[in-house]
Amino acid sequence: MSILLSHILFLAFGIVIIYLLRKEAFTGMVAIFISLASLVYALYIISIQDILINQKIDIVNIIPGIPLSFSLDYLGVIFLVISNGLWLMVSIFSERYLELNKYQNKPKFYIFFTLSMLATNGIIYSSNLLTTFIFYEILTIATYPLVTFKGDKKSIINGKKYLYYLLGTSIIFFLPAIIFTYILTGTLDYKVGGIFTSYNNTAIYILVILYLFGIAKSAVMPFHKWLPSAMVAPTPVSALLHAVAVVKSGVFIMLKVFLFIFGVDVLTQSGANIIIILFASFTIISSSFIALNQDNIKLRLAYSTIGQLSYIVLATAILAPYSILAAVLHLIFHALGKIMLFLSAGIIATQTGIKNVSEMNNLSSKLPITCLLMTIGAIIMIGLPPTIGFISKWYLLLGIMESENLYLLIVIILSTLLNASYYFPMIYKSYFEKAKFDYKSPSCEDMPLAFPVIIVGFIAVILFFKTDFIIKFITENII
Amino acid sequence: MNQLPVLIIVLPLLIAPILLLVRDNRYVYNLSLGVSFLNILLILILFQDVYQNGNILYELGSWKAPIGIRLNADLLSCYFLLLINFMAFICLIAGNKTIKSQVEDDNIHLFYIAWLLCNVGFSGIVLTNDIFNLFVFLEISSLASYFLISQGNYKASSLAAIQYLFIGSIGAVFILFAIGILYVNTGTLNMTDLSNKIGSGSISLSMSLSIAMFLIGVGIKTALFPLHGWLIRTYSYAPSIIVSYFSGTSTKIGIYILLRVFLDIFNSINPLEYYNLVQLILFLSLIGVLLSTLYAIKQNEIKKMLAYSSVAQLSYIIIAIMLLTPDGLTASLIHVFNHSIIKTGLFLVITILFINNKNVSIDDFSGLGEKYPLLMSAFVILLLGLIGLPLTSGFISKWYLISAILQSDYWYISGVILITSFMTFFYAWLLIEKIYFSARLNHDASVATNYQLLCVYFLAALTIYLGVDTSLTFGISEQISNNFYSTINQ
Repeated sequence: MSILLSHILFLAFGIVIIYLLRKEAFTGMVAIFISLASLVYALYIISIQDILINQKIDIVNIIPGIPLSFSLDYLGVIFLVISNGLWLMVSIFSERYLELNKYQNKPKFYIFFTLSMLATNGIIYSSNLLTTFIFYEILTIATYPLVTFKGDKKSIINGKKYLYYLLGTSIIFFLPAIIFTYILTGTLDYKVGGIFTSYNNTAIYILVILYLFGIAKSAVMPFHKWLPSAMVAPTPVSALLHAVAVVKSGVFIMLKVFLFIFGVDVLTQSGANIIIILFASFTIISSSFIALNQDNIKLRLAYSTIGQLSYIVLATAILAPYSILAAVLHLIFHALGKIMLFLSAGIIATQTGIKNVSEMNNLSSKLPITCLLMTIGAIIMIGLPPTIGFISKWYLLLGIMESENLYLLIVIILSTLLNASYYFPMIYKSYFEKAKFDYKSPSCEDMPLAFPVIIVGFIAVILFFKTDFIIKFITENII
Repeated sequence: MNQLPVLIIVLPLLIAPILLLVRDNRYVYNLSLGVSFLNILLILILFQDVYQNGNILYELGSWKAPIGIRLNADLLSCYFLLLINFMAFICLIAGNKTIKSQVEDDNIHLFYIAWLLCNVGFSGIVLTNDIFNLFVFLEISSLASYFLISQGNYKASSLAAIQYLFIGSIGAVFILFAIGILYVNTGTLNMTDLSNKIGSGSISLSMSLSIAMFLIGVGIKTALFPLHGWLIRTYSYAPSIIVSYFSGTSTKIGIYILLRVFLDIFNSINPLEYYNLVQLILFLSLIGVLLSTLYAIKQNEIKKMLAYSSVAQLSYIIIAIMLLTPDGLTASLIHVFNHSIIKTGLFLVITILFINNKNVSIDDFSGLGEKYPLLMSAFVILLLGLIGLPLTSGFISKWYLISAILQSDYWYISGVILITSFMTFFYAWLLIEKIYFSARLNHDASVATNYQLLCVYFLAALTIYLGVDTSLTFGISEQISNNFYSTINQ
């Protein structure tokens, strides 16, 4: 049996195990074990990637000519490590987090968490758009119980919004886009250079818009509202799923559609990439403005995510080699930075009950490590040296120069300023402003809770000095 | 001569009067179940035969065709035949307990007899090659259904039956007139003969009258908007087991007649395009889809909700046919099969759980996910199939439907289809939310027997199977539509 299929089946098996055990006490350990094994799987798959690359495994012929089929490509390799690696960290975090916040019904949490990651891995392994679509929908459905996990009225309302946005766009835009692509080209397989041999510009324009709206997981405006809604979920869910797995799946699919369905040539020659650039630029700027006005930490992070995702979409749409490099790099770096921010926010809320930026005064005296990690994350988001955020922004700027779309420099500079102005208060307040009122709970760090975040922070810092192997991998294989 | 086609009709027809003599409820049930099972076996053999060797013609009493009556088993007939009898069998298994508690003891054997006769009528309609016989079989099935519907144990049942009787009779009268006019014009009632004699010339006034009458009659049968009112009332007030059975069969028979009359008998003059009927029907169906989906969202009573949903789904099928392309026909045939399975499954769950409730509201499903984890997951799978999410058969239907629409002249209506298909999600999700996210009410849902549960599981499994492996539905549908359109193009 193929290793890719066995990875997916292993995760399915893991879900069954958690379901059969259903003990509050040790489902967490089982889940951590599953995520660890999944990471091992991912690393093993990467170690033998040369054999696996572009080898298709058909599982079942869903529609004659379009099978459910898996394969591995270089873009997938990168996303595979990121998502499975961070999954392990978040599993360790969530075990402690759920315990401290006294959440009930842990097995349900882990079942759907694992299912979400199964779907994410499925998206990574998909070798055609139909397979991608199937796992895309599974991911939507699987995250719903997590978004509504608290079970109160607010989370059910928000959960509904979440579903309506994601399912609605996928049914109304994504599905017809796929079918239309199939009618035009007769295939749905991802292929380097695209699958359109002949085309007319109108069809390409329509398709680009359908894909842009349809893949709403990448949260390009105007279909971004689901992401702030999803913030009612417990923090580990917001951290892994709504900063990494779900949103990055959206961007990942977007990248694959633009590079391997349309192809660089078709998009540049038809000029359809301008549409994407416009939507993405608009999203970058307006989400930053909205983020400025959010007092709730998680909501501010969510709007920041929306902007950062559009960076990736924008970088892809510029279609210059450097900008595509920047897109892939940012996919990795944003994941690391944003997960640190979310997990720190989770620690802050757990330990002190603080959920708003305006209450963060002098937080660093209570939670020194967490605040440090949060600061690193924030600097990555702003894109300042010496953090990895700077590297991806650097290549994005190079890409813009290269493609001579110089007006985009304004977008990047403006948004960087905006990023700084909504992240800076968080840092400033927690270090330099005096506390106005007392905190309700113990004032020291909880090391088991902080431990996974420290590891992520460590990796993020080290990576700044070690990016050359990633850049080499991307330039050799993807561009 | 291959005797199978006639056996499929005659066997239950012979058993029915015997049941009247047996009277003992237990034997009556076992016998009808046995006949039903035997019929499925016969149909499977016939199906395979037809699939390999082409049409099987059977001359009743060996009288040659235009004078004598002929049965014609082609792939289309077999496809519907299998669907109808399969649904009847499943509903019979699941219905035993429900029928016992819903129908008066003295009437139970009559109920089964009516059921068998109804099914004979359906089988006859799809097998006959004689258009007057089609009318006769239609009447047999209708008369039997009036009785079946009236047996619901609340007052409105009789009213629903009477309404069904009236509207059904009006529909039948239209069809009868249409057949009469055809006979006057051509002097024959044999379908093959008819289609030859109608020829390709211009359409006379009387012929167009006949076409119009067929359209209205069939429109009533298929609950074509705005002729769908009877379906809502029937589905709300008939015994639930009958609703389960009818949702998979009776309206699909309407679709069959539509296909037979307009694409087979009249194919040479192509009336649908001649009078711009296509545009009219498409327009009506689109409005039907939109309105009935909206109504379905507003309903609090589940049976009504599913009834409106049926109207919408039937409109999808009709829209697919009206594209008048092979792909459209394929899509419609796939959806006929998939929708029957899904809708029958959904109604069966309601039948099983709420034998005694007059009205089943959405609230009655509150918290049932905890009480019946397996049954409810089957129910949810069926609902997901109705929405058309991937890995269910509904997705396959949707794929082919949208694919056919995008490739036709009417590509712009795909927007309506997509939006309504998303709206399906609204009402289906209402139920899912109740099942899993609401506290349990203290309503007594009745205890299901293992057989009943097995039927539902089977239908749910089939929904997934047909969503993953399409060789059965797609393969046969494609062949049928290719056959159809290759003759039309000649």
